[in-house]
Order: sequence, then structure tokens, then C-alpha cells
Amino acid sequence: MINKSNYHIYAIDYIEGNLEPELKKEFEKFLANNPEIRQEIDELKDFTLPQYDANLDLTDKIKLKKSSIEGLSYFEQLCIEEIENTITQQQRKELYELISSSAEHKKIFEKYKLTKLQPPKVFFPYKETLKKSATYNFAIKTIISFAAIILIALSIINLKLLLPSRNNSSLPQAITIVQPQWKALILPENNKQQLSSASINKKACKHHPVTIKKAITKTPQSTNIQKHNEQLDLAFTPPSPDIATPQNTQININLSDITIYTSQKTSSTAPQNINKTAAIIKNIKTNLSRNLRTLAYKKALALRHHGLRIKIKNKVYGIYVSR
Amino acid sequence: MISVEQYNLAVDKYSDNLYRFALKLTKSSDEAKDLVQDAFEKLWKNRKKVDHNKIKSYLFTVVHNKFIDETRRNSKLSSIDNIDFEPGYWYNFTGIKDFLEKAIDKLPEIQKSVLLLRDWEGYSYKEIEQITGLSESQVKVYIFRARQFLRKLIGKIETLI
Repeated sequence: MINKSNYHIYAIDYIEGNLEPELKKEFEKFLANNPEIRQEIDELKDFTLPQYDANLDLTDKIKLKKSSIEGLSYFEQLCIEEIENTITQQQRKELYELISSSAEHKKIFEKYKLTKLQPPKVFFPYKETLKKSATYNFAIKTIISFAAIILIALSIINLKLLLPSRNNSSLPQAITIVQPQWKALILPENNKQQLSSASINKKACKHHPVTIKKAITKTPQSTNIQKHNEQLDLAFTPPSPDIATPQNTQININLSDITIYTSQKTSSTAPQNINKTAAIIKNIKTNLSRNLRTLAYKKALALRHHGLRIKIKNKVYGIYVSR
Repeated sequence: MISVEQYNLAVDKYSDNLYRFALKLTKSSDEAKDLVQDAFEKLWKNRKKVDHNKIKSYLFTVVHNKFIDETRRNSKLSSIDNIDFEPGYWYNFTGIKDFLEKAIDKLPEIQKSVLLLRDWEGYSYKEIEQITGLSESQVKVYIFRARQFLRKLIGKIETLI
């Protein structure tokens, strides 16, 4: 039973519409009988609590935030994030909120902006020394390769020169290249006097052939060659075409310096002195370059079984013998 | 693999920046020159292994590492509180830029190196991480601390003007 002493219990539920239908009917009957209470209830119905602005000041809220980097305030972090261009949109809003709210913040931000370093112009003065040539590798490798080839070649050549010859241990440090196109210089019989001379006239020799037989017969030691009793054309050549001796050039050779070695086929008792055949060695250049000597040596090796060698002043030259 | 042409182009493009960086770290033109030459020599020796797109960062890595190795033993931490300016100190400089050039030398070496890579060479944190071998977060912290240090230094000098 709703009465003046207990209607407060139902009043709030009635205003908020939470009363059971039966109780609601009973409450409305009570209000109809008590108009002063109805007025009170109607006033309560219109009453609403005033809206309270619960938003905290944004600046204060930002100030509460902490920096993720120890030793820096959140504001300082925002300043640097802005300089570093790593700032988010939300952070930028917060930064400029703080800057606009305080002159001190603005000052600090301005100082942070100065910490962005500008690179000075500096030039490295030794730039060119650092550069590499495009042919660097190729050139180095080529030089090394050539050096290696030359060293190997020289080693082989030296080895050959050092090796004692099977049949002639005194074999040559210098030998002329024998070329067939150089035809025999056959000494004429009437040149015997000339042959004994210490000075030999090249032109005279060239145009006055002599047989080896005749030459040998004048020399008692040359018995082995004599056995063959053949007419031999002796051919020889200057060390190379470019050093061909000019006509009428005098080559001074002491006849006593000359020794002729027979080839294996013709003699096994070499050397034999046949001084008077000295004329045949004219045009021989005694000072050959090392390379020419090497080449000549090889050729002489190839020819030694069917030729002669002639030794002049301790240098031995190959002589091609054609029959 | 780097060709001779790419290598020489790198000399043209990066040797100035590398020298500037080394000069700032060492404060000696001779040492800086040596660092640059060492870096390029190392690049040339390792040209078969280095990606031609990463030549610049390779060079800076070599210079940074060499410098840090050299100075690690003697490294000392700077504190803003330990820096005292004599009266009139500011007047040795022609401006704030000039002052900052000198002020960088007061940074701890690692912070200086990282900040120079960032500001002078424009490297990202990720690239600086690769060059220095630091983690990205360490790079960030060093940069932030370096800037804070410089900002305080600027503040300190301003009070003297």
C-alpha cells in the first residue's frame, strides 16, 4: 500500500519507468489523491544533472607523457622527432600544441632546429692517386707473363749452352748462321799467298773459288778430310742479313787463330788446323749478339753432322758444306 | 663485383664525403687521408665481394670501424656539465654554424659518427645500423642524445653572449 510515508521508495522507479504495471497504477492513484506530491514528482521528472566538462587541458595531458629515451622529456623527444622527420601526425599535433602554449617550449624547439648539421664543402686532395687504370690488371698480368716466358726461355737456352756437347766439348759460344744462298767461297789456287796473309780481302775471296780438297792438300794434318777427296763447296753466312759485310771490307784475322773442325761424318779426330783456308771465313762477324749466337748454335747443331765448324779466336762458326 | 670503371666513379663520387667524414672524426688531415686511402684500398681488394650498389656504405663502414677501433681505448664520455667556456669563447666563431662545427668535437665519438652519417650523408637509421653495427634503436638513441647535447651546448653559449 503506497502512502505518504513510503512513496519515496517507488518515486524514482516511477520516474524512470521501471515500476511494475500494478504498482504503477497504484502509484498514479496515490498521486491523483495527493496533488502536492504529484507536483513534486513532476519537478523531479524534469530535473537533469548539469553536464560537467571532464576534458583535461591538452597541454597538461601531453606534459604527463614520458619519453621513450631516457634522459629526454617527451617534449624534447617530439622536437627531435620533428627534426629527424620521424614524427607521427599525432605527435606533430602535440608538439605544436606545446610550442604554442609556451614561449619556453618555442625557444627550446628553435635551439633543436639548430642542431641539424649542414655539411661543409670539403675536397679530397688525393683523388687521382686512388684511381685504378682500366688496363691495370691486363698490363700487370701481361708483364708478368712475358717476364715468365723470357725467364723460362733464357733458362732453357742457358741450359743448352752449358750442357757439354757429345762430340765437341769446346762447342761454341758463337756460331754463324749457315744459309745455303750464300754460296761457297772457293779460294783460287793462285791465292795461296793471300791465304797466308793475316789480312783477307773479302771481295777477292768471293769471286775466286777454291776447292777444299786443294786447301786440305796443303795441310798435312787434314788427312781425314783428304780421305773424302771430294770437291766441297763451303757456304757460310754472316750472322744475319742486316750485318752483311760490305764489299771490299778487310777483316783482320790471324791465320794462326783459325781451326777447322770436321763434321762427325768426315772426321773423328777434329780439330785440325788448316790455316790456309782462312779466306773462307771472311764476312763472319765475330761479335754476335747473344740471341744470334743462340740461333746460330741451334742451326749449327742441326748441321754439324754434315758440315764443318771453323774456330776463329776461340769462337766457333758453323760452315755448311754442300757437295 | 665492382669493375674498374665503377671503382673510379666511386672515387669521384664519394672520396670528398668520405674525407670530410674522416676529417671530422680524426681532426687530422693526415689521419683522414690515411683512412680514406685504406677504405678505398679495402674496397679494391674486396671488389669481387662488394655489391656495387653498396659501395658508399661499404666505404663509410670501413672508415667508421677503423676510427672507432683506434679511439675505443681512449674514448671518454663527454658531459655538458664538464664543458666550461672561457669568457669571450663565443667570439672565436663566425656564427652558430661555425660554433656547431667545433661543438661536434665535444660529442662522444660514437655519437659524433652517427650524427655525421645522419646529417651530412643523409643515411637512414637502418643504413647507419649497417654501417656502424649498432642496433637501430641504439642509433636513434645516440642521435637523440647528440642533439640534446648540442641543444644544451647552444643554450650554454647563449648565456655567455
